[in-house]
Amino acid sequence: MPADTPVALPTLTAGLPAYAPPRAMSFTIQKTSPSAVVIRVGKALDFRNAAEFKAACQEHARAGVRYFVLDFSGTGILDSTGLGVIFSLYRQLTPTGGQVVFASVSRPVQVVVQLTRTYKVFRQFPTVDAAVQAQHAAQAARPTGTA
Amino acid sequence: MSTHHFYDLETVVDEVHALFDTWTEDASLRPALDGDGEIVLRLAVHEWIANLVQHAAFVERPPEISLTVTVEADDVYVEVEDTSLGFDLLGQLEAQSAMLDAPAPSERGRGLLMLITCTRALEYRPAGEDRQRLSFRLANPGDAVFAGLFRPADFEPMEALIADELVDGYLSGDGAPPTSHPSSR
Repeated sequence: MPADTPVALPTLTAGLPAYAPPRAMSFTIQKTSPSAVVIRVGKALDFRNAAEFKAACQEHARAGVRYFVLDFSGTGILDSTGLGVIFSLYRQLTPTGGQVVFASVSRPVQVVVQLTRTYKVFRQFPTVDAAVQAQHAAQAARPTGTA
Repeated sequence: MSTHHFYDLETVVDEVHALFDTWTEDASLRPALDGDGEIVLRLAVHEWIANLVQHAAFVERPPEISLTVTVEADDVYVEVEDTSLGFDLLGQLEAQSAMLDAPAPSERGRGLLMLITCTRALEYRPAGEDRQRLSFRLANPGDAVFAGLFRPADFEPMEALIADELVDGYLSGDGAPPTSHPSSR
């Protein structure tokens, strides 16, 4: 190679298979009404299970769910990708009046929420029951047939 | 603290968090970091490891990631070495920063921005043959250190994140070496 030939830095994943995360799904989804689900996030929502989480949420959104309660009790990891998919869900739901709310927020998640200021976007409830009750109350106050 | 080595890219994230669990339990990061500082340090290391696991090319040597955290008076000094080929960190940071201005920004691609906003004296350089080293210092987080990385229209604009210089394709932090460089090997 000539001395003046620039040396290119290696491309990140050129020639390599796409990253395939091990199955790390730790969340569970419980439908509490035709338009609402509670997602127990579990130990982590991060780059390893974010795609799976997003796909599950989208499936429920397509089925008419408009109120997502994310239960963060016991969640130790919420990374940038995890928060990113929550924002993606938020953007998908808001045009149709849907909501994403947080419940039983663990300290690690609370720190992320505070430092990103995303508490401005995602309403928080001390418990899952409080979040579910809030949706029931909102539904009761709306005309029949709305989410 | 001693240097911890990880060899399996499929388990390294869980292993690193298990290590942090012991440090939290033993208060090993006190008094430099309080509880929230520990969480931010854990997140910073997590984001870098995530980046390595997803994007780094470990082709010349078997994967190895080494983590050293040194607790000092007011902050911690962190070194993460790996056996990947390395990559253009500054280019990735610029791409991530540009992505935030997109009308519908991707849910991915903010990890390096999170890392750089909560650390200082961040450097990424070759560390001997077939090794790369990320180093940074981290103190207890200021208020809303990550504000702007996720921003609906009513969020405040993100301040300029990248004020570092590029040296031979690698990122050099503030141009000055950290005040101490404990050996990781």
